[in-house]
Amino acid sequence: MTQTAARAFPPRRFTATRISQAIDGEVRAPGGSGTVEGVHRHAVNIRWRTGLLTVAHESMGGLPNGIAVDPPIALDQIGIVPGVRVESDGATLRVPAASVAVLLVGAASWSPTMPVLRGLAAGTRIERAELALALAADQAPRVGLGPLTAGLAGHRASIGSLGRAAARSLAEVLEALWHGRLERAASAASPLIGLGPGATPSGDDLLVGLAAGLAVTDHPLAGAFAAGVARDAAGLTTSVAESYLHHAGRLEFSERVQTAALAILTGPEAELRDAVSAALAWGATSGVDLLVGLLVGIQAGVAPRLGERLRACAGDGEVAA
Amino acid sequence: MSVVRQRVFRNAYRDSVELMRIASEIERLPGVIRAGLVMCTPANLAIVAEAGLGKGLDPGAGPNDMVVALAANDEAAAEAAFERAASLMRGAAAEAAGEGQRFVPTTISEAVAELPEANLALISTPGTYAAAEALKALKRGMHVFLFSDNVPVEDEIELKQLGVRKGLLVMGPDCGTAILDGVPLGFANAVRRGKVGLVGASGTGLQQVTCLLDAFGAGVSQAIGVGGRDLHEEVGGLMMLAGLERLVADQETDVVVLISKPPAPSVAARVLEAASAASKPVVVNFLGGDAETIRAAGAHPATTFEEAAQTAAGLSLGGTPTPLEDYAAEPGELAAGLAAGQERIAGLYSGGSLASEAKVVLKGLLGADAAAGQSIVDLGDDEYTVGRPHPMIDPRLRSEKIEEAGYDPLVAVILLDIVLGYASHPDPAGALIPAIEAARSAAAAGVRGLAVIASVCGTPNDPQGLAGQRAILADAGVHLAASNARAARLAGLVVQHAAMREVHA
Amino acid sequence: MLPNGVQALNIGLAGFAEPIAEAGATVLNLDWRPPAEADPQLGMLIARLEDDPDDVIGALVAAANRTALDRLLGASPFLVDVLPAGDAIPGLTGRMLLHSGPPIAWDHMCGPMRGAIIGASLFEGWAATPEEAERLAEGGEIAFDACHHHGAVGPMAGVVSPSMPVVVVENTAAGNRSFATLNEGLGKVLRFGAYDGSVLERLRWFRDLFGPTLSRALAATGPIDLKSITAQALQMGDEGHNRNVAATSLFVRGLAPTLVRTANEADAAAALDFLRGNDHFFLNLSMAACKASLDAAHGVPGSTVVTAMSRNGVDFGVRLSGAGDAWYTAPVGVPDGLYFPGYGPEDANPDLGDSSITETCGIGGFAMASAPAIVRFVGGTAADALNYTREMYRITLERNPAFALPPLGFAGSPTGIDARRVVESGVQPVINTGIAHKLPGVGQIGAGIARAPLSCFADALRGLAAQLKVAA
Repeated sequence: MTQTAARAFPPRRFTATRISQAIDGEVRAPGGSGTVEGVHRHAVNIRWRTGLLTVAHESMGGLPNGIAVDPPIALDQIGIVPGVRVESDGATLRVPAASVAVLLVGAASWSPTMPVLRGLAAGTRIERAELALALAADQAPRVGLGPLTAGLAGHRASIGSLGRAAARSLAEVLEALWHGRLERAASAASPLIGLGPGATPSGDDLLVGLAAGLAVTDHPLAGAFAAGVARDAAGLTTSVAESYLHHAGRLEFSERVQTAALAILTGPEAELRDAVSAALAWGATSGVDLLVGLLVGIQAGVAPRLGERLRACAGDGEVAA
Repeated sequence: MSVVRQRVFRNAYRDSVELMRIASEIERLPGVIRAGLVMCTPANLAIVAEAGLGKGLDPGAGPNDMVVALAANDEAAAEAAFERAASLMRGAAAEAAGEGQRFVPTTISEAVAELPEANLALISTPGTYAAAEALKALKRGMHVFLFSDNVPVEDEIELKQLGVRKGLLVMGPDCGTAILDGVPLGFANAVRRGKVGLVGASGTGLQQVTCLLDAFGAGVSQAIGVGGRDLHEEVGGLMMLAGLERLVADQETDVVVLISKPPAPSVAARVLEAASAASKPVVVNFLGGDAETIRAAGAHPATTFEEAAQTAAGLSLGGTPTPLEDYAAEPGELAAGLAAGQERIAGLYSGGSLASEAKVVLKGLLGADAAAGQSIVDLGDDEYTVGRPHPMIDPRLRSEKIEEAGYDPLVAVILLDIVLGYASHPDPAGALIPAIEAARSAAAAGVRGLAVIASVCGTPNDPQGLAGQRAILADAGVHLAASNARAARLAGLVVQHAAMREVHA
Repeated sequence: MLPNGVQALNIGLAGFAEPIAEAGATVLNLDWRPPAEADPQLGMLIARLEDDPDDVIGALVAAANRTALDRLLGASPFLVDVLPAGDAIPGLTGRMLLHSGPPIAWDHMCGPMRGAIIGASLFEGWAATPEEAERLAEGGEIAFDACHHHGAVGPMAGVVSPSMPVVVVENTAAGNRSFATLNEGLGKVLRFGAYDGSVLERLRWFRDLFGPTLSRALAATGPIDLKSITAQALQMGDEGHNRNVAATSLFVRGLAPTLVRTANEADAAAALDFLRGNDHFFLNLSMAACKASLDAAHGVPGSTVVTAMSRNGVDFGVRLSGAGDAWYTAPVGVPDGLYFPGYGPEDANPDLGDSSITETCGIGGFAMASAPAIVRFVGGTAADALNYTREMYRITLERNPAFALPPLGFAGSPTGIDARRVVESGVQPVINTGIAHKLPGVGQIGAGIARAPLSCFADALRGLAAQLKVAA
């Protein structure tokens, strides 16, 4: 059956343009192999020995576990199906059953590590995060953690059970981080793992965003907290979310998250607005979920009222304007 | 008796946008009360359980499996929802093939590909092709509303026999009116929903009875049209009997009303036999039929549509409903304004059954001979509608005839029906005013009187609005009656007075 | 009354749909027009043949079509050998010639077919001159029969004589075999009615060298999967009737190494040279593969699936799976298309050949969406190419997943022409075809689109109905 399918599809060659440094060594080692897990138009997820790899169109930007490729042919229409084998000889990644080959030689190396902005004034961080939050609240969808942005921005809003759970956890995490209590912070975060709709559940996107916010503002506990969450997440959430959390645990994030964080913190206002709008379009709810985490993480430790507001959102579900 | 069910899709590696799309579609399916679509992480499974949708969920489901958990009205609705989710999960390759061209189906088979759940076909094609379309629809398990006429009786019999075998309704041919589950089909009115079910071989008869039920404060569960020929000998009342059976079995129906012109005697007997065996009260209006035989069958006879509506309303609501308002006009006064020789009623009808009812009322009031001398015309009849639209849609022919009547020195009364409702003219009353005024002028010029009497068949919720239409007519000096029977009666009394005046003069 | 709410189809006056929509129910308006070219009796006949689980005829037709489709889609044609026609083709004995299209007598044959018959007679040595050949034909000394009656198919005149090598294609799923001659290429060729020295020389080379060379190579490679080549070729810009270069290239590439190993240098070089110059070599294989698939689906009582469409330059003929071996014919016209410089419609021969077996099987014109480049030869725009395929979905029962068409999101090609749908909707099957000069031997003068005549399908349905004892 597979044989006939292979002969029915013409062989395809892709060229890798960028490979994440986090997976470079693994994928360029000869003799490696894996299995295709999920196939989408712009990306294919592969279960490799060491974790999840993603082969994605260059237009998706850098991914911490990613190999960006050209040309942008629809990856779900060339014979790659879940379950087929993938192998690497170091120079080329192949999917024999679909006659697909990705040439790795010549690809640039891309760093997934979040850049760190030191010396940002507390006032700036709060101001920018609040501006971004207000914009998000105006545009946010009514799914995922969208309603929570409205609540946090001070609109009268019905926050929903997911939003309340998120607000509760965030409030507790912030408090625990403030007091330097890592274990408390990790246990406060754990109810969010695997929680909510989406292929990457809202709670996980929120935690990735939170870790990103802590990382970019050089929070002293960023690394330890994120690594703790990543460890706790094993087996409790979807394969893709687990992979993102794993990389977040090493303070490795996708290019678009890095770009958004930098734009929000240091860009001119127009750039901040664009970044918020762009982020809200990620996935179905991943964008807004991640954004909430990011904007809270940016303010961790410097915004005295934030915890209160989160607790208010968590408490009664309706927030007075 | 709602059910909670889940279906787990293993290794469902889809992206979030697809999942969201599937979720929103499943939530909106008929019969689905609540639905959730999430990946089976421990956190999400806890939420599903908290939401009361977790009972029976496979404990082996893992974080990369997806679950559709729902509460549905019944097993069938849940199954259908899961099937839909499964087919969406399988992907939309077929959709891609149709992209780029918004294709309008031209045949039933093409249409069913687009609307797989289609359960009713409305057919208003030319009669030559109508039977084939109806046959195709029945074979696909759809009920049929067959507006077309000029369908051979052999085809009607075949279609109805097939319908009975399949448990499907064949409403027609020549069926203008029905209301199924509150949805108007053809020329129908916006009537209150309630517990009176009707089966009728006459369109405007159904319209009149349903509107009057609404006026009496009762409501309609179903109004099944069966087409004008159903109670002829050859067709044998197939659909009237099927409809009666359905309504007797229907939980939402307490009272059944049967409407038809006098059926062939063998057919009447069969229908009354079924009525007598019914476990619910049955009101029978055979428009001039024998009240005694109906009563003997244990059914409630009604001579007019108003009587049928009033009886049914009473049985449905309990007690005696408030009678309709009687007309304000005085027959004697109207007759006084007439000149010598004005003794005729010109009945210019758009509804065939209403014209028939008028004839029956007049026969009862004036006696057979005098009634026969009146000119009650159904302008919707074939001879008038060849090559032109039906008078309920196009008022031009009626306007002409109204004006003509004004010039006729023998005409004392113009008797009209104004039928409101869906598919009818947007302003039937207003459309006739110029002709009515012209008729009056003509009569005045001839030093004659002229009484214009009308009833408006409609409800306040009809697109045209009952009150507004009545006001337009009243403003033009038209004498209004609350039902067609009353209008006919008033017209009859006027000419009766006029005739007596002649005698005394 | 209706458990899922009113979901209505509105057929006729559009105005009846609005009140239903206003009442919040679902209604779909049809753009209805009288079916079956406004023939009410035929329309009623179609209604009687509709699928219906509760009706004897309706259930029979539905089950029969299901069987026919399963056999058609499940067919697995493999090229197994190249053999002399007289040895391989059942019933081809003595002085007999097969031709394309429904059966036709010499008197009525068109120019190109007569020319091909003359050429074949000369090739077989039955006559020494063209005039002698004509006398033989006129005198009834040569038997003629349709290729189709012998499991064979031929492009254009489609003349097959006993000494010609034919490809032998076997449908491994059902065991049936089909046959076709070797494609001669373009220009002066027998199938366009040419019979001069060069034509006969090529036929002799086919018989003595090329055919046997192929046969030896096939013995070494084993059976070649034709369905797989067609599937790949459809994704490379071929449609399997008028564009065959990708399929031919794949075939030759697959065979070449074995050719070189099993033949001497001169023979291998000659074979490869010939194949290099003949873009359409795979056409005959494509046709034979389709014939094998459709023959497997033929002969299911009650099935309305079309199993053959063919033309002999005078008549267009159609067969239904459930209507036995009868041909339902109508006069055929000249295709509508683009002409090579110097030629016009007045030069054209009416549509000719068995090659419409490809459309009958869901490729060719039906798969035009995969070969938009074809519009440069047959006329139209690239968007038209997509729309032809979409149109054919309206008259077919299945989409063949083995033949996925990339421009339509890899939807399967429209397969299983249902005569009921053709007649009801009035949508005629579309055929991509070459246009021959009406004089024998001139050759191809253009290419275009032809539509199968509706009356063939109407007559076929009437024939089937008569056999099922169904009256309108």
